[in-house]
Amino acid sequence: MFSFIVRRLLVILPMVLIVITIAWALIRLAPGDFYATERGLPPAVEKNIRAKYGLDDAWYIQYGKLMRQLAVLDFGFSRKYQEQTVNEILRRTLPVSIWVGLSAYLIALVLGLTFGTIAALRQNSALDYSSMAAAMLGISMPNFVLGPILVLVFALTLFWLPPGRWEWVEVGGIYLPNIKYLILPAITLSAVYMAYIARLTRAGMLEVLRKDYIRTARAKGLSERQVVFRHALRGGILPVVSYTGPALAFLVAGTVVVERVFALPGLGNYFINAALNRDAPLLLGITAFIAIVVLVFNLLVDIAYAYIDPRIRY
Amino acid sequence: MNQSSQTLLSVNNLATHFATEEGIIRAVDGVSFELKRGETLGIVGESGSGKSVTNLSILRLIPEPPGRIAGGEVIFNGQDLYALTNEEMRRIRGRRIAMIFQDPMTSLNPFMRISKQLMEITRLHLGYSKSQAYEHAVSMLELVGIPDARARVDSYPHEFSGGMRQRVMIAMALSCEPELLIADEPTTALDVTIQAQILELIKDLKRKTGTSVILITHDLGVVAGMTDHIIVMYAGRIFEQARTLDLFRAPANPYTKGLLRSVPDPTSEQGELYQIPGLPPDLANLPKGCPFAARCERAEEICGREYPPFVEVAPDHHSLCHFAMEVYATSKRERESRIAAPSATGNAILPVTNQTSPSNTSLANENLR
Ligand SMILES: Nc1ncnc2c1ncn2[C@@H]1O[C@H](COP(=O)(O)OP(=O)(O)O)[C@@H](O)[C@H]1O
Ligand code: SF4
Ligand SMILES: [Mg+2]
Repeated sequence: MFSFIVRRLLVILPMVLIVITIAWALIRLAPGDFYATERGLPPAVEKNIRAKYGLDDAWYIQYGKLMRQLAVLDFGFSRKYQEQTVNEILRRTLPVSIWVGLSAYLIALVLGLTFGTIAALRQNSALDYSSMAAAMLGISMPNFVLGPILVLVFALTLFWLPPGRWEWVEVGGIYLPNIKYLILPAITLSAVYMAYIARLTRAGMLEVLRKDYIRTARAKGLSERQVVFRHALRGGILPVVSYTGPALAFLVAGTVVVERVFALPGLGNYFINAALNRDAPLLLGITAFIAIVVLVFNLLVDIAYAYIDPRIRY
Repeated sequence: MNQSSQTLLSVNNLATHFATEEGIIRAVDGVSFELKRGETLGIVGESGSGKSVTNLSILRLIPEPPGRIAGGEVIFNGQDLYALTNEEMRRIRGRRIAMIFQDPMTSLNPFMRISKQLMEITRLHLGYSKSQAYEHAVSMLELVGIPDARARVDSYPHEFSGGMRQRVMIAMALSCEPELLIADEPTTALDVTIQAQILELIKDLKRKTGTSVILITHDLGVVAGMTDHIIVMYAGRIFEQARTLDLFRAPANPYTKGLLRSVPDPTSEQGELYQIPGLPPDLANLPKGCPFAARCERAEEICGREYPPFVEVAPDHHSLCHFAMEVYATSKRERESRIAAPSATGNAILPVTNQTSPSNTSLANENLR
């Protein structure tokens, strides 16, 4: 197991390198750059600026610089937000995204597992059909549609919750999100995962409940509840565990959209702005960070998988 | 075969149906038998003949839907199992009637340590504490012959071989000293040498504990040395029912005779093993008449037309056949000629493990007693 973890960590390095290189190449290949605006700077000024940022250096010099930055995980100053470094922006925006993303996944896990298990145990009942229909709806409804609908209902009609933005509250020296601002974004983001997890759980449970060892458990005289919770659940949720790795990658993409819809000061929102502004350092910094997080989480998921299934040994 | 001993289990006219897209499958249709305390009953038949469903029905473990116990009663120890609540039934499962299954590779929970799976049952039924249950688990593993039981009790199932896992299943089944052990093809998935060991173990434990046993198999050779009575099943019905020796000496049903011919004979050099021609019928669309008619060597015109009667050919010996008496008489005649010329036995019945039967060299010797 230890050597597996070391091996996987070693793979993460080249993976991040590849991701960053692709991102860098895409930024270069896209027409225009940060200073190619319609403002029409005097040519002399523009020339100076380009020289300062090394924009006219040969590609390998620019790439070499990027590699040095990656090695120390410091991408310098943002071009748009001139007075802030990329790392400062990450530090400020990341907590927002983490709160939204993790609450969303937690909601999705709890409700998805619950509904999926119930649907499997009451297969073909009205409950089963209605939760699976709801799941179908959740999967097919994009979050940029669901978000505005929720805002319309709960913010603009019922006035229960704010329609967007973010607020931190200090509790004993720790900053926590004001939950009123967290609820709608988290629910919007969770819907699709909840639906997916419910379907995966239902399918997984139905398959496990047909297994011979479940029959053995019943033949032992265990109650239905003991059969489900002690014997079936573990195998039944394995598909959900495997799904958590890729889900995280999608979750990052989802936060980008949801932060836009709710105007949250999170990483995703800055990511979009950076892309629109051609703010290469910020864009590359965020990309590197997300790549590392996704890869590390996938490793954690594999470790969790081995923990749940004793037959898996790396 | 103690005639005065008390009846432990009596199954009367059991019928279990499955609703499928092709129609209603009568997987078990009018099965009746009795089992006395301390006795062993063998249930034999080709795959799909309803052996497992019969026994799952006894324990009320038929998946519903699609399954349904459509009729009959099961009396265990004077108690009508079909009249019990689910809760009462659970107190019988595992404690008073235990079951082991065909495939030991899949019948244990792969995610749970062996110790935990063994402890679960004694904690549930006998109210053992954790440490009591743990000690009991170790001693059960020792009882079923797992070497180094204490060191291995915390293993996961995949760390055990198939034979060892079946021993674990047996240990689990016998943990609460059940009055009835149902072993559903306990050796079918195992190597031949392991098969013999497992059967020996069941026999040995049965002798020690006095548990009644129902041994299900598709191989008549397996039950020969182990059982007191045998039921031969086909298409959800009992085709022949007799005391073990009677059945082997003079089978009264063409289906039984076919099964007997397909038992491998270690003394014969014949390579080709006999197989009953054809396939079992589609249970959703049974032809009228005898369900075996399409495959039966003895069949006549009446077999396809009329359902055969269940004939008592001798005391305690029944056969479902239009020609039960004739088949019985032929079998007896054949046996006499075999005794006269022992070398011409052809397919002798050789139990895989045989200690209670007087001899395992040939049926002829047995008959000379
Ligand atoms: N869950 C089920 N659904 C539908 N049919 C079933 C089911 N279980 C068993 N059967 C039917 O019952 C018949 C008898 O099966 P079984 O008792 O398992 O045979 P065997 O004698 O090999 O143990 C089979 O032909 C099968 O078609
Ligand atoms: S009734 Fe006819 S078909 Fe059926 S077993 Fe007897 S002889 Fe064969
Ligand atoms: Mg079977």
